[in-house]
Amino acid sequence: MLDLVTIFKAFGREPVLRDISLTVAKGEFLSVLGPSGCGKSTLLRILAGFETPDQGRLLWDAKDITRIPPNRRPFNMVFQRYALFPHLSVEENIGFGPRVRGESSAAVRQKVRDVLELVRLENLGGRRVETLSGGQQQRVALARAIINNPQVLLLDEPMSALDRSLREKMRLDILNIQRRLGITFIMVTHDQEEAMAMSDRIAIMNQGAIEQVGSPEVIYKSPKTRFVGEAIGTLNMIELGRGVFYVRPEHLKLLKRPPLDQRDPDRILPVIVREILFRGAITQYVMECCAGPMANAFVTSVIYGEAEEMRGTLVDDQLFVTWDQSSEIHLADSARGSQK
Amino acid sequence: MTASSRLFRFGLFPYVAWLAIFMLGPLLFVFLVSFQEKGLWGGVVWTWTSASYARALDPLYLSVFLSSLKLASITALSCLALAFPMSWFMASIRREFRTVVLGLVLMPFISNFVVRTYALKFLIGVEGPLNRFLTVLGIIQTPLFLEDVRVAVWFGMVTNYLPFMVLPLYVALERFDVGLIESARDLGANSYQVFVRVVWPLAKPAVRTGFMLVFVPALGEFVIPDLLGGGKTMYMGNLLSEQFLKARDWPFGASLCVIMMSVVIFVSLIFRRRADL
Repeated sequence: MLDLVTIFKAFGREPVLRDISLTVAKGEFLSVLGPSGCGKSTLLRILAGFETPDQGRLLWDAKDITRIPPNRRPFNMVFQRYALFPHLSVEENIGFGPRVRGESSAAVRQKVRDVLELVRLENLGGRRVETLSGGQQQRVALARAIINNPQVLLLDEPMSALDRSLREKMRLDILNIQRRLGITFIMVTHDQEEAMAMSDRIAIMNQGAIEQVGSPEVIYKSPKTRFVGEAIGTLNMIELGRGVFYVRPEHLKLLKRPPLDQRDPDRILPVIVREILFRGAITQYVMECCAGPMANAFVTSVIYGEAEEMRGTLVDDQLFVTWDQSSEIHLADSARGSQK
Repeated sequence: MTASSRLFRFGLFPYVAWLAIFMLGPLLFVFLVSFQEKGLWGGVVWTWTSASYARALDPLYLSVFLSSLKLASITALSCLALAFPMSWFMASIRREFRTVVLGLVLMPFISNFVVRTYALKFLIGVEGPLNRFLTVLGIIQTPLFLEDVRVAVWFGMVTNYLPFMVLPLYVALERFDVGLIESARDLGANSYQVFVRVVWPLAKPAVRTGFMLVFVPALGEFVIPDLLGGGKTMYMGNLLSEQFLKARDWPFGASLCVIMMSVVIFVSLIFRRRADL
């Protein structure tokens, strides 16, 4: 079990991590999600041992490892730009860890062969790393880390340099490896889709602090702050006389005519369509509330799935939006975290 | 061939012509002269002979040659030992400081060579400030460098050739990806292993360049040994220049020159062949 106890770090006078506390279970896949500059990379560097926190402690199995240098930590890292050694072949890159720890060359060779198979690069062992594609380099970086049997694998935006289709394949590969090895994975990312798809739990970071930690589902369904709600998925802000609240796009119903059943007039909103963005499986409608008894009402954007009924809708058409009471998300802070 | 590459080739012509006339021409002349007989009062008698080469193989000259090789190697290695940490430091400091430090490193280029070398001679001389200072402090009883002028020559050589080592190293280390060091650390390498397995192999091409840039001119250097060695030392450079300036034995000087060039080319070929050097 990895325990972060009130980790504080400042660069100069600028605090980058403000008392981060977090517990990561063995075998867990935890993502740290946040915009650039939120301190997530610094946090990962502290875990790897490249930075020492100003205050706070890092515990691994209740043992204090805060000041243990990176080469003596049972953790390994997959670097953002892979940081493969350009003067070494694929095999030599992967075998670097066991070799510097003084393992026999026969043992290293066997291990390298096993790991190459795990990341499906069996035939590329002798190649120079610069001749590999981005996806292959990324797998070498992964292999070079996991060959050391780390207790925790740290991944720094591991897929940010890959194009979209490759990224989705790589996600599955990484998940697969994580399941097979049962190692704790801690991944830093700014890609919400990636975090949601891969993680057991997500820690959402904002300005050096963790705003919320939880499973993707819990975070999506009940975000504690607006920042969290927008970090994962889209939020529609609706401002009515009774206050401000949020509704996820898929919980908004679009209608061409006002519903006959007017039992809940508080939850029917006339809107004007401003943009229609066809996105394949879904169509995004950007709408604005028009006048009427609820002049303050405001819908930022809606993603709507059932295109059938809405066919023929044009920009500037009037529509009606309804939703269930149960899908309303009420947040304590409506003002915070809106710098997005 | 595109228009621009045609233009490029045309632009190359003056350079090639310049070298062909002013460098290859004299070299060819040197080569020819090395196979002639010397004239009575200098100059050359055009009679083909390999006598000069036979004379160059004399153990006496061989020992001169060996001590030159030794001096050039020691100079290059000393420069490397001094310059590597310096280049690393320069590559790691803030950009605006680098220019200042680079200027300091290039000091030997800006100041006049002869004047500077004389000043050094004065500084480290038997009666010089350095010796007096150390004697007054009681650190030494007898003046240093007295019995071995080679040490003084070594000082002068290293001082003069340091920039040639720093520059290629600095250029290479400036582009060095610090992420590689971090990943090596992360994979379990200690500082020594990081250096031996990552930094050194990647810096090696630059080390090789710097080594050759120092070694080759150091092998033929004759002014520094003359000034600092007080004529008590004999290196290839001195021997060679003597043949032309004093002894007036052009063929012998020319043959020494050809032998030295062959050695330099041979050494650089070894450097290129063996990637592990």
